[in-house]
Amino acid sequence: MFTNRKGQMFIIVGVILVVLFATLKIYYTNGSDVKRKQYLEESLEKGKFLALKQEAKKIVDMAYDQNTVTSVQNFFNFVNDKSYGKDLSLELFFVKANFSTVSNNTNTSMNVSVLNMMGKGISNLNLTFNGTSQLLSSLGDNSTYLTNFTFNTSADINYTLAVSYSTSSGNTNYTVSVPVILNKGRVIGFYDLALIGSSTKHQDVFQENYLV
Amino acid sequence: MKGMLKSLEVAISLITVLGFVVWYFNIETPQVEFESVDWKLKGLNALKAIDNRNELRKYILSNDTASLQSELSPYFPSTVNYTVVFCSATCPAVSFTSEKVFSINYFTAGDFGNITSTEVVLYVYE
Repeated sequence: MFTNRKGQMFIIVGVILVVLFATLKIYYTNGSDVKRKQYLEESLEKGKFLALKQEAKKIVDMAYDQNTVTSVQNFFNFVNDKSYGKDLSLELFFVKANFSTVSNNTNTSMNVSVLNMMGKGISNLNLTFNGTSQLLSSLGDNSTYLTNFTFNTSADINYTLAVSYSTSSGNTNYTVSVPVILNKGRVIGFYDLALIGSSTKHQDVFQENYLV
Repeated sequence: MKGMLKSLEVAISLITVLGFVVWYFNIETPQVEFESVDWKLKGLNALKAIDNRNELRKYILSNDTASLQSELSPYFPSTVNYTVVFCSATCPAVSFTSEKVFSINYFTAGDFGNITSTEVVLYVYE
């Protein structure tokens, strides 16, 4: 059957090869451009995220003697209200802990503030420090919870503040490091920051400590 | 009849091959637009570099857009124009003659002793 139609078979194979090569050329030429543009867009979103992360760290230092939580809240609300609300969205969970100069064998109070800016409410917020737990049943979006703990030490020590909560997405746990040095005070800013774009999500959990 | 058919097949094959070669080397694939994201990335990196030198906040506090614009000159070719505005709650109005305008936003929370959120908007146009 095919021996009589060898010529036609060559034509058919030729046409198939032409279509194949043409498709490959379009795919590789256009595909690599699309990939390059996608890479640049991802780099831009990552750059924006890193700039916000850098600013978040600076706020804790710049506003340590003021209301840090309000400063953080104002800044990220400002960012959300501006262009980021249009094509990018921010999610933030922030914990600030601070205590004034620690004296040997003296009760020291540590203020803890929790800021929820994750775009949704959280439930069962549990804070545990130095064997003491505090539970808050719910904390709405763009809301703050303030509390305090006490510690007493005769030497430099590393405490931890355990933070856990639940959302519609599941349970989350963090461990905030609280290094205590005698005769020094400290401000700690703990962030879980996420920048969500159309196709990417940049997220980081980080902490900044400043001696005061 | 058989000879004619074979000639026709040869002709079709030749036209197909030649047509393919001509088309393949002249094919124009749809162009992907890079310019916008490229300028935005360059602008963001430029503002970040100036901020890392602790100069950006100085200009914001003194509302000195002119000095910031001259700081930006090494980051852009002379064929490209750019304008900077500082925005608090609202942004100052800016008008352009060019239709191709790209904007880059950079946010600062203020400085020591002056915690005020500011959006730096860098417009790049040709």
